[in-house]
Amino acid sequence: MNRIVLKQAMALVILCACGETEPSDIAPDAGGVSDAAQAADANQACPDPTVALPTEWRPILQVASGVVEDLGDGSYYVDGAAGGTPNAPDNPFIYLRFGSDGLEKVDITDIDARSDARWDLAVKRMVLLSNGGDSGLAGHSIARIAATDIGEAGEVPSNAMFATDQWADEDCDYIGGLIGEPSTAVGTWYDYDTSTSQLSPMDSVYVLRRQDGSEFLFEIETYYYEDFGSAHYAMKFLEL
Amino acid sequence: MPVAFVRGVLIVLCLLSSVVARAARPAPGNGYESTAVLQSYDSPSGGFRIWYVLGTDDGVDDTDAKPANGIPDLVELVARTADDVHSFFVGDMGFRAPVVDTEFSLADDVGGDGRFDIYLRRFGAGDGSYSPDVCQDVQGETHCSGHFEMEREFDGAGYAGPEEAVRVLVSHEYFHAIQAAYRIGTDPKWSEGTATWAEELYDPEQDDFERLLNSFFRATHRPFDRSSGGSFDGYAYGAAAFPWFLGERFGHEIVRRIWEDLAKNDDDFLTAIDQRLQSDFETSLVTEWLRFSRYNLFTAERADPEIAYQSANDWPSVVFEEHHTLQAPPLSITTIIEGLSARYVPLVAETAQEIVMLANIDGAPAHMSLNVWTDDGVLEVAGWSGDEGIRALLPSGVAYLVLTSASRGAPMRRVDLQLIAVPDEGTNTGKDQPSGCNASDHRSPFCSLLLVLLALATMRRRRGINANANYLHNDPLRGIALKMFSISILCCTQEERASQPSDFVVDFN
Repeated sequence: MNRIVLKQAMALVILCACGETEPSDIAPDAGGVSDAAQAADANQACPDPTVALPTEWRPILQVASGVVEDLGDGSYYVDGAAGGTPNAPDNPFIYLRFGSDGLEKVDITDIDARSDARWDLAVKRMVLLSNGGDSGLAGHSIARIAATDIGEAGEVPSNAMFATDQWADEDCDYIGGLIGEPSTAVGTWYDYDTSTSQLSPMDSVYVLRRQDGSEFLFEIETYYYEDFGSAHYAMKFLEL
Repeated sequence: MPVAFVRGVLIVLCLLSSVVARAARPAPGNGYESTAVLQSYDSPSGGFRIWYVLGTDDGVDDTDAKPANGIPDLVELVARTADDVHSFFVGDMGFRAPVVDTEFSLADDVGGDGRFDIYLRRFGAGDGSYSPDVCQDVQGETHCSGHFEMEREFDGAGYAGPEEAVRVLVSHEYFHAIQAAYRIGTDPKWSEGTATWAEELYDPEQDDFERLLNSFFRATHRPFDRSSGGSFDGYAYGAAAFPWFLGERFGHEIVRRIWEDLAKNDDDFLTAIDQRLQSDFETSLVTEWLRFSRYNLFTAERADPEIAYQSANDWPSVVFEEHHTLQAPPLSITTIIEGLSARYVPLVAETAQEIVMLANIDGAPAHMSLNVWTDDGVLEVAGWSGDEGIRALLPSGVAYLVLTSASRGAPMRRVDLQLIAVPDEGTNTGKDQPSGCNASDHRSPFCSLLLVLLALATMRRRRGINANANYLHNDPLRGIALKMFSISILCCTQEERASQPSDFVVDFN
C-alpha cells in the first residue's frame, strides 16, 4: 500500500501550514547558526536530556556497524545510514573524531558517548551531533560559515556564533527540528528538493571548536556517496 | 530520509492551543490541478459533503450505474459510508461528533456550511489525511474543526476493492475528526493507533488493520513510552494492538473513556490509561503491559482465543530474537530491553530438559514469562521478575521466553540470562510432562538447592529466587488456577511434578 509512506514533502507541507520555516529559508549567512542552535547554552537544568529524545533518536546500546573510509582525496566516506530508514530508530549514531591521521571512527555506543570526550561529531541519517551541550560532555561548539567549501572558508570570522546541541529544555521537554529530529548546533545543513525528495548540502562550512580552543573546519560534500543510497556521506575536514 | 505518514493528521508538528490556525481547504491549484472544477454531493443524511472532480488526474472514476443518477458511484459510496461511520461511532459507540466547521464562525473562510467535508483527490504518497481547520479553547478543552482528504482511486493499493478501501479510509480519517473534538496533538501511537483500532471495530472484515499491526509486531523491542520524533515506519499505526488489547480486556468503550480523560486534562495517553485502569478496573498500566506483551506471543499460528486475543490467527507474528538450542546448558543469552517493550526468545530443547534460569539485569527490573507448548496443546507458563531465578521443566520442542520491560522511562539496559541444566534424577522424559510441583515436597531438597546456589554464584550480582513475580497471579489463561510457590519448589522430584495436572501453571511470589 502506498499510503503508508509520505516523504519529507509532507512534513514541509505541514510546516508551511504552521507558518514555520522551510530548510531553504535558513540562510547560511556568515557566522550564523540555526535558530535552535542559537538557543543553546541556555539550558543547564535538565539532568539527563536523553530522556527527552523520541524513539527514533533515543540512545542505543550498540556500536554502529558502519564504517569510515579515507577516499584518498582529502574526503572521507561516512556510513551514517544506521541500517536504512526503517531500521534507523534501532541503530546508533556513528561517532567520529578529527584525528591527526584523518577522520576516525570511535567505537562507542550512544549511551557511552554521553560521557566520552574522544568523539567530535556523530552522524545518523541527516542529523549531525557534536560533543557538547545535550549531546556530550566535551564542550565542543559549532559555528556555520557561508562558503562553498573548506578552501573558500578561510579564517573563522570574529563574529562567528558558536552554539552547542540543545534538544531538551530546562524541563527536559524535547526540542525538535523541522521533521522531529533533535535540534543540534549543526542544524539543517541541507536543502530539500521536493521533486526528487533528495537532500543537497547548502553552501556552508562548519567550524567545530573544542574546549581547548582548537578549531576544525568541516563540510558535507554529499549525502549520497556513489550509489550507496541516502545517509552515505562524503565529508572533508581541516584543522585550523 | 525521514518519512512521515499519510493516513494521518497533518498537524503533528504544530500543536494548537488556544486558537487559531487555519489550514487551507483543497481547491484548484491547492491539492487539485489548477484547471480542476470542483463538484460536490451531499450524503443522504445531509451530514457530509463529498467534493470531487472529473476528467483530470484528480478525477474520480465516472462510472455511474448503481444508480445511474448523474453522480459517480464512488462518490455515492463515500457518502453512504460516511453516514454509516458517523452513525457507528457517534450513535452507537457514544463518541463526540466532530466539531462542525461553522462552530467557530469561520465558515466562509474554510468552505464550510455545517456539513463535514471530504475531498477526493489523487495522492502522490499515502491515501488519506485529516487536517484541522480551526482550533479553539472551549471550557478548558481544545476542540478543532476540520476536514479530510482521501485517495480517489485504489488500484494496486492493497485493498480487496474500492468498498474496502472506502470503509477503511473513511472510518480511519473520520475517527481523527472525532479525536479533534477531544484533544489534538496526542502521541501518534494513540492518535493513529486508535484510528486504526477504529477501522477494525467498524469493519472487522477488512484486512488493513492486520497489515498495519505488522509495523508494531516487528518492533516490540521499541519503547512504547517514548515520544515519536519523525516517523520512520508504521509503528504508530501498528500500535493499534494496544487499544485493541484494552478493548478485549475491558470492553472497547474504554477507548472512548480515555479520550474523554485526555480532553479534560493534560496527561499523556499512557498516564490517562493507567489512571482509567486503576479507577475502573483495579489494575494498572504496568500489569496490563505485562499481559499485553504475553498476549502478543499468541498470534498467527499460536493464536488461541482461550489464551489471548479472540481472533488473532490472521494477525502477524511478533519477531523473535535468535533462537537458542538447549543441547548442552549452561547457556548464556544477552539482550537489551528498555521502557515499555518486549522481546521474544525461542528456546529449543531437543529432549526434555529441566533447567534453572537466572537473570542479571542492569537497572530497572524486567519481567519474564516462559511459555511452553506441549504436544497435546497444553500451555505451561512460568512467570517471574527482576533479578530472580526459576526452575522449569521444558519438554522437547520450543519454549518461548517473553522478556518484558514495564518501566516507563527506563533507558536501554542489558539483560544477561543464564540457563543451567538440572541433572536428570528420574525416568521422566518430560515429553508429555508438565512442569510444576507442590510445596509438600520432602525429598532431596539439598541437591537442587545446592545446584541453584552454585548457579547463583556464577552471576555477577546477588539476586533472589522466586520472589516478587506475581504478575501472572489470577491470570485468566484458560481459567487456570495459579498456585503460589515458595523456595521448596526447588526441592521436588520429577515424579511428583509429573503428578501435577496437565494444565498446571507455575507462579512465584
